[in-house]
Amino acid sequence: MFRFLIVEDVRLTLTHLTDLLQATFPGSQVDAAETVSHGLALIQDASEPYHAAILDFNLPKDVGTSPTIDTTLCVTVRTRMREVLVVHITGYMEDRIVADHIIKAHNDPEDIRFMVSKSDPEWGSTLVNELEGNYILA
Amino acid sequence: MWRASYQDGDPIAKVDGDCWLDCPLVTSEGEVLGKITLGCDQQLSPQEFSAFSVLSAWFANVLAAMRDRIERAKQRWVVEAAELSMTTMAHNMNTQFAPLGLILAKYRRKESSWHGAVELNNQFASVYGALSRIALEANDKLGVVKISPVHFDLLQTLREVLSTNLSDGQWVLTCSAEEARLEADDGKLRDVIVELLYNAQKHVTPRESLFMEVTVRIGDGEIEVLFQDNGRGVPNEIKERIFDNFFHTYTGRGDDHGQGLGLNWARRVMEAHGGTLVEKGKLGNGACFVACIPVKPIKSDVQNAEERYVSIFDR
Repeated sequence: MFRFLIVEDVRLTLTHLTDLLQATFPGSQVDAAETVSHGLALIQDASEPYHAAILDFNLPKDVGTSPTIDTTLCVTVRTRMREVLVVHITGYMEDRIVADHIIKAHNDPEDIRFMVSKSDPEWGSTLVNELEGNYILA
Repeated sequence: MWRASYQDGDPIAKVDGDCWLDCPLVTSEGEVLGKITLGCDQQLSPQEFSAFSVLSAWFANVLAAMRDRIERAKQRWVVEAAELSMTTMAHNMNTQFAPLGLILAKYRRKESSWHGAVELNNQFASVYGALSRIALEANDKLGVVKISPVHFDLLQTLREVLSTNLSDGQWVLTCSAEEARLEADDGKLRDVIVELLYNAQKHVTPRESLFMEVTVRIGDGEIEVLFQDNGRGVPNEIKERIFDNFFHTYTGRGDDHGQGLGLNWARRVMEAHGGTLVEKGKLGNGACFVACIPVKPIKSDVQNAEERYVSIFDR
């Protein structure tokens, strides 16, 4: 059984992404959070490591706060779960903080991660194809 | 003894030998509201009168500088508020479109069991992609232009962008100097060059027949770049209108026509550097966009107003 973490503040995206993962990987467990704090709590409380963490970049820290670019989720989950596949989903591919994070946090050529642009109409297919082909079924 | 009065108040009796100073009250739109009169009923020595004149001129200049500063700040706030609203709306649209990509992925997986799903999904992807591009372009092009200057060689940047976007025989770059170093936002200037190339390609049929002649002139404290293409050119009556947002000359709304946001954005990038972007070509001889950029970014109007304010005090 695959274990996924999704942190995404747009509920409609979160719902459809959860459905898509469960349809693609039947029997998988999907933990979902809408804020950075909730995501960090799920990582902290996880009894087993996640296979993949699908993380939005622009997220509110807590309920009621304005979204900002967050990199703490990625750093935390990679620190606690060394084998986790981090998938960044973002509409901010050109953002400088995002670019800096990719350079600094993912500088190992062996690092398993990828980034998907939510502006690409086929981003959902890209995401599941990458999960299937590059990691989960390998 | 010094006295002061507003024009609508009790008038001050003026006596020969008294000294008077009228301070006009003018709104930022230039409307005269009235005046404040300062009067002294004592005879002034020539030295006192001279000092008084300097003081009154200084006071008038301070008022003018403050008025200019407030007016510029007000204009900037209005523009930035409008731009922020545009980008926020564009971002929200893009955010709400994102689930469509997941719905599409769900039905992509059903294509093997129902052949008709392929066509339906492709049509859905096409429409969704067009909507997404509009939102992205609005987000990119309507927002506040902020520059991050770095030192670089503009000739090198031009060579890289031209060779990346055009074939070898489609462009020529000439400059009397070996390099054109300046302090500017390299990334944004690259995007401006791409925008000008994209704009030229749209007006040459077929696109592959485009030829771009780029000339770089290095002047005193500024660099001028001419982008001359081999298209039809721009009629005089729309030379300025082409820089308006959403303006285009097409009769239809093809996928490759864009939203009419690129040239306005390109001009705003140049202006953010303290430079300019104009079209100076002759109809029939192709379009010629002339970008002029200072070798160092010029400070904003607000900063200039502040300096003027300081210089009055220093005088």
